[in-house]
Amino acid sequence: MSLLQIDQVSHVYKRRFRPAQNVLHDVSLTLEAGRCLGLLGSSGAGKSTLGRLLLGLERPSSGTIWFNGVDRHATKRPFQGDVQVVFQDSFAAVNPKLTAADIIAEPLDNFIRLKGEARQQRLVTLIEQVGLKATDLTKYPAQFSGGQLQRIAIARAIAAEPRLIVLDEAVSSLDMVNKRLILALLADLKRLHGLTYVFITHDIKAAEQLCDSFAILEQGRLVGHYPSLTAFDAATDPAVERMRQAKLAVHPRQRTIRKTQANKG
Amino acid sequence: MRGGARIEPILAVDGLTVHTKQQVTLIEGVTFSIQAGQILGLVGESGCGKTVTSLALMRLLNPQTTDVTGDIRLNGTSIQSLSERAVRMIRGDEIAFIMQNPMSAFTPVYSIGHQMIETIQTHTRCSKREAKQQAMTALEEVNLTDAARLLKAYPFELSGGMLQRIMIALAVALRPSVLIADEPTTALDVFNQKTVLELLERMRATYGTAILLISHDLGVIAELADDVLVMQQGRIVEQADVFDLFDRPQHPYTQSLLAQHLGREAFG
Amino acid sequence: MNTPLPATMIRSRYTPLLYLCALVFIGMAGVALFAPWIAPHDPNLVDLTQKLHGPSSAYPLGTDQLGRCLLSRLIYGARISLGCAVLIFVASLAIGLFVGTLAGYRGGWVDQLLMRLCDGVMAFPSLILVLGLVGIFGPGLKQVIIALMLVQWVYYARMFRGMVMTLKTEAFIAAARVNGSSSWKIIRTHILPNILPPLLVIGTLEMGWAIMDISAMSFLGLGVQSPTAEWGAMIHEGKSYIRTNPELMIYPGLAIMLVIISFNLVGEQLAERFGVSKTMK
Repeated sequence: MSLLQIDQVSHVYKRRFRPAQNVLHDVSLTLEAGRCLGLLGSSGAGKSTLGRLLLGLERPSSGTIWFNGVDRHATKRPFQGDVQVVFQDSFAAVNPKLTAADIIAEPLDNFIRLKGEARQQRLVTLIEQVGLKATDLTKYPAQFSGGQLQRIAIARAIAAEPRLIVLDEAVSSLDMVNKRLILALLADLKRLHGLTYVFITHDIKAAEQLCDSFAILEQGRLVGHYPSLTAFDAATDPAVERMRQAKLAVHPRQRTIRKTQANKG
Repeated sequence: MRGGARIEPILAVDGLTVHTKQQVTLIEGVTFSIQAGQILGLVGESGCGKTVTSLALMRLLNPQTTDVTGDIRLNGTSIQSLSERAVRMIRGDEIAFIMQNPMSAFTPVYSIGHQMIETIQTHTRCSKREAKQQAMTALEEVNLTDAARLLKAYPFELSGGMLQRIMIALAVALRPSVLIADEPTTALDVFNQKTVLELLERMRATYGTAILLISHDLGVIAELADDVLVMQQGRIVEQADVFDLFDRPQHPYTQSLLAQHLGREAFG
Repeated sequence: MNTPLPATMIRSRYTPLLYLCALVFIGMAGVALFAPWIAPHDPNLVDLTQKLHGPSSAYPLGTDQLGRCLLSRLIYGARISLGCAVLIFVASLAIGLFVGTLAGYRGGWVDQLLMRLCDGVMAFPSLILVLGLVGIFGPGLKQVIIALMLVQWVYYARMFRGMVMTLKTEAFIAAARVNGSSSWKIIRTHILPNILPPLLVIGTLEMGWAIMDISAMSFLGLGVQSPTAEWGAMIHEGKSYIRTNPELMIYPGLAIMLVIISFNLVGEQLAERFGVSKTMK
C-alpha cells in the first residue's frame, strides 16, 4: 500500500464578491514510503494548495487524500505529527518572540511529551542533527541567518518523528551555497529517518537533486507525472519544455536576455 | 572597461566602509564605478554585506548606530555631504531601488495607482492627471496590459511577480540614472524571474540606466551583467568582466562559488 | 530571504520634538503622581477674600472666582485627567483585546456577529454616543468613564481583529497548527506576544483622546462635578468670567492642549518606529 494516495482531489476557494476560484482540478497521485515526489509548476499553479491539503490545513472540496490507509480529512484531529512541513520563508515560519529551543520543542511537547533532562537531550540531538550547535538553542530567530533558521525549521519538522514532510519551496529563497547545503541535509535526514518527502518547487534544478519522481501542475491540473529522473529528463511535452526554457543561463556565453558577447578571447 | 573613450561614471564609490558603533566592520573599502547603460553585478552569499552596501548607497543606514566613510559620487557630486532633504529627492529621482520582496514595498491600504501617482508626483511636480498618465505609460512599457485596472488594484490582490514588475514600472516612470536592484528575482518563480530580468535589460537599453544588480544567483549575473564584483565578508575580493570571471576566476572564493554553480549544473 | 537587519541600523527620524514631548509626558505624569507634594495650596480651599487675584508669590497663577489657587487646581486636575485616561485605556483595551482576538481567530458567524455590533457602535460619532449614555446613566465622573469604555473598546476590537487576521495567515501559525498546538495555545504563545507591542503606540494616541473626552464631558457639566478640580470643569466654571478673567479658561485649556499634542506626537513617532519594526518580523 502506498503511504500517500491523492485520489481525484479538486479544490475551490470561495471568495467574497468575486467568482469562486478553482485551484485544483481532479488531481490524482501516489507516493511510496521513503521516496521524494517533486511537485513542479509556476506560482499560482496550485502546488501550495495541494501542500496545505496534505498537511490538513484545508479540506479538499472533493476527492480523498489517503495517508497510510486513512482518509486524512475524515478525522476530527488531522494534526497528529505524522505529516510535517518546512516553508519557504523561514523568518515567517517561526514566531520571532520564541527561542530556537521553544520553536523546536513545540511539536515535541504536543506529540511526544518528554520531560526535563530527556527533553533537553532530545533538543540538543535535534539541533545537532541539522548542523547547528547546542548553544544556538537559546538564540532568537533574529540572531540567525536565513540558512540557519531554515535548519531550525527542519529540526522542528523532524522533532516528532513524522512519516511525511511537505517541503513547500523550502530552498527557494536560500542563496546558492545554502541551497546546496540544505538539499544535502534533507537527503541525509531522509536516509537517516526513512522519511518521505513531497517537494513543492518551481526550481527544476533543486528538484532534480532531491526527487525521484516528478509531477507537474499547470493551472491546477496535473499535466505530467514522471516516475523517475531519467523519465523526467527524457520528457519532451510542452510543460516540461517551458520549465526548461525558463532556466537562466549558466554561463554568460549562453545568455539570452542580454545580447552582448565577450569582446576579448 | 570595454572599448571606447573613458566616460565619466554615473556612480562612483570609493573606499566605502561601514562600521557599527561597536566597531564591527560590515563592509570595508568597497570601490567601484558604473557608467550609463552598464550593468554591474554584485555577487556573494547572504550576510556578506550586499544589502548593507545598497543601503549605504541610498544613505539609508542609521547614523546613530553606524559609521559610513568613503566617497559616493553621483553624477560627480558627493552625496555624503548632502542634507537629508536633498538625499530624499535624489532617492527615486536619481537612484531608484528595487528590493527582493515587492510586497513590503507597497502599503496594503492604498491602491497601486494611489501609491504610484503619489511617488511620481513627489519627484516630478506634475499634476495628478499627468502623473496618472505617466503611471499608465510606464505600466504598458513593462508589458502590463490593462493598466487602468491595475491602478485600481490593491497590492494583496496581485502576485509577487506582478508587483515586482510594477516596482520596475515605477522606476521606469521616474527615469533614474542609477537603479539598484537588490535580489530582484529571488522571491519569484523561474518564469517571473526571466520576465523581470528582461525588463531590467529593456530599461537599460532604452534609457541608458546604470544598474547595480545584486544577487546571490550566478545565473542572474550570467544573464545580465557586464562586470562583476564578488563580495566576501564585506570586502570585494574580485572584480572582472563577466566572461573573464566565469572563464578565469582568480580568487579562490570566486572559484569555489563557480565550482558550486557549474557543478550543480553538471549534476542536473 | 534577506537576513533582517537590526531595527537600529535603519535610519529613523527622531527629532528633538519627540524628546520634548516625552518630557512633557513624563512631567505631567510626575505632577499627577506627586500632586499633594507639589501643589502650593489645597485645590478646594475657598478664600473669598483672595478671589480673582493675578499671579503673586503665594498664588503663582493667581486665583479663581472662589479664591482657590489656580496652579493647585491645575495640578490636581492632571490627576483626574491622566488617571481616568489610563483607566479607560486599560479597561476598553481588555474588552477590545478579548472580542477582537475571538472574532479574528474564530472568523465565521462569531466574527460577523461581533463586527456588526462594532459597526453599530461606530455608526455614531463617539462623543454623541457618550452623551447619550451619560444621559441614561446620569452625570458624574464614574458614569462618564463607563460610557467612554463602552464606546472605546470597539476601536480596539476592530484593530485587534485585523491584526489577528493578518497574523493568522503567517506561516508560523500554519506551522503551529501542523505541530499540534491547540487554538488556545496558538493565541497565547503565537498571537498575543506579537500584537502587544503596538499597544504602546495606540495607548498614547487613545489616551490623548480620552483626556479630551473627559474634559469635554466635564465642560458640558456632565462629568466631574464641582468642587473637584478637573481641567474641563475648570473651563466650565471659568466661562462666566471670560471677559474679565480669561486666564481662568486659558490655563486649563493650555494644559489640555499641551497634553494632547504631546500624546499625539509621541504616539506618531512611536508609530513610525513601530512601522519599521513591523517589517523586521
